[in-house]
Amino acid sequence: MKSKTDEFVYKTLIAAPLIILLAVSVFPLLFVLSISFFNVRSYNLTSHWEFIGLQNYLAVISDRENITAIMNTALYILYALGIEIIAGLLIAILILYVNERYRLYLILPFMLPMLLAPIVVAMLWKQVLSYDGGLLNRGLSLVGFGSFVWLSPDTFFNGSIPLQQSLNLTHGFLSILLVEIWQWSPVFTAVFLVAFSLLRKEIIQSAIVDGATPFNVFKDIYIPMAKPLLYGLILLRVMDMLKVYETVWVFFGNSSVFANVNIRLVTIGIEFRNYSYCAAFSIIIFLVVFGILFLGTRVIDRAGRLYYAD
Amino acid sequence: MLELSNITKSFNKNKVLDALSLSIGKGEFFAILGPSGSGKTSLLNVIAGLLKQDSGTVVLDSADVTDTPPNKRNISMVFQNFFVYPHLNVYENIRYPLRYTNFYKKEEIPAKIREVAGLLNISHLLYRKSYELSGGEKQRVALARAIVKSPSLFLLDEPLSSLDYQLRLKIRAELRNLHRTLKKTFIYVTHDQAEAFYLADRVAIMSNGRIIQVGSPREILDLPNSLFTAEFVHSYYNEIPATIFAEGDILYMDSEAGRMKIDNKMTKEKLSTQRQLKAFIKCQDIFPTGGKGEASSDNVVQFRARIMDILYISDLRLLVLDNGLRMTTFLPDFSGGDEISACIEKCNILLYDEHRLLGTLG
Repeated sequence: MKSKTDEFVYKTLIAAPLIILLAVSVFPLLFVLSISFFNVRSYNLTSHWEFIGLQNYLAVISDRENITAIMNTALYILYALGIEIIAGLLIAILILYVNERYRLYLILPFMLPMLLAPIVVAMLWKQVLSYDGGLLNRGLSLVGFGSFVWLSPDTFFNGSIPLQQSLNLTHGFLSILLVEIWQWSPVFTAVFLVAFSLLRKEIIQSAIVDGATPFNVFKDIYIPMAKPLLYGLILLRVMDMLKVYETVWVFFGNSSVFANVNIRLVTIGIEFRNYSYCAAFSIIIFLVVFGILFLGTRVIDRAGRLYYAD
Repeated sequence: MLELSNITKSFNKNKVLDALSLSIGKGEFFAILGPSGSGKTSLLNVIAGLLKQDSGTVVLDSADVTDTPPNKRNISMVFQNFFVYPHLNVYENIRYPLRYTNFYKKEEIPAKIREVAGLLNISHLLYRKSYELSGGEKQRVALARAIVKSPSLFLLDEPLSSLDYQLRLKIRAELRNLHRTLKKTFIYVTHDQAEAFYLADRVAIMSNGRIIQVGSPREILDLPNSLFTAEFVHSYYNEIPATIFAEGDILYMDSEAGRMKIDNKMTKEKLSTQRQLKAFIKCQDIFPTGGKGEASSDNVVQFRARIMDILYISDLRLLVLDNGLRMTTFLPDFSGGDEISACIEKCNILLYDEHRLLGTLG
């Protein structure tokens, strides 16, 4: 029998987290949404707010620096994902060739970068990439490549190729990418290894008897069967990459050339104190992220069903 | 069709296949029956080429395939726990073996797949996703995939063991029909006696990496050549320790079921030196004789005993008697405590030493 005190306890237990959730995420979101339609800045925060409709939104999408920040973020995600998937897969294949007994010792050092705080990683790489005496330049000069100004908007071909310029592959952008790839490729290795180890040996034996060569088995069995897990990781990484701040800030501060969405939001919101404008930008980003999450989870859910097939 | 000679395979000094030789004829349904761990699946993997034997040769269709990789041997295989490629639908699953080979012209493939699907009654499922199939449907897809490239040899590794009982009986019957339709050679590995004897033309009994006995179901069931086989293929039997007692020329067997004269000449010759042995009597070979006045004959051992217990094995009743014997019957007219008279034909009493069959009593 449920007594009255029990019911009170149940309701309190549920209500407490609900109230906290409302307080820390739903109310702020609604507040941000509402001020995005006004012209709230630092000087009129406590006085009169003027309703200006969608003007903030229009201003956000017509500002070149915002577009640059969005492009930087998008390209960062695309390049990093592409390279990390391929690098992770290659390392996984390499590890598969190693005797099972020694695999752990090989995987561990790859995993270590993940344990470091992003700010530490950024500081570390700033040293490595520095023009004078940086480890990378020293190594390059040692093998006769000379030195590069890594943390700069230079490009390798000085912008003579239009496509390359539009792809934004400056030394600085490459440097930011490098850090991300160094730190997170091993997660893809781990997920590929897990996915491969989930494959039962009968599936592979069956494919071999059905006429598949080892390459066929890899292409037609290993990779398709790893997809659901890979999709899950991609979604996690996209969410994580949308939050990247430290590397860019340590390398370039608030430079608008390299700013991603987060740097830009902080600049507008906290340095310029242009609250409504920043709110409108935030809402746009929020909707995009929400869309990615919504679609991503659906894709993962559908793809994951193949694990129930047997 | 398939000749295995002296196949040996060890894993870390543990011999799973021990100088095994086997010959299987064209169009035969051949079952390999053995308890788990007897090396059946290893043997099948050697035939398929998935496992490289340490020594010995495999000859398939009069060509030595000892060093041929699995995809170059003209075989199909159905696995114990794996039925469908999860990421492919039914159509693509059946097409999978045709993906890397050119058995058929490209335009012939859809028709061929439909034909095979029709044969296994899965035409209506062709565009289903693998995870939308039931266990039996998956197994049919696996069979269709095996059939589609029309190999000369089918290898089936306990294909029914993960299905439920009813479905197992159904697909078992379908498999038998399939073999008759296709007229191809089937090698069927199982630990289920009923499956092996139901399906196969010939059965090989396997234990510890060796083939103990090869023969038709009837040969193996009637005259198991070793105590291991006898115990393995029969579910309900009596195994009585016995000693041989000689009185002049006449040999008797003494056991707790009484003294019995040994009539069989062939058996007698082998027995003269044997002292300790075991008598093996299948429960189904002990018959109730109804009335008292049954004509006694030299070929029959008669006895009277009291029923201690009756166990029901679906329709079959297992009677436990007070003289230590157990018998099975379909007759319903017995109850616990009854005294019954029963008889055993002497030719159904098998004598074994530690391992080998010595002969029958009559």
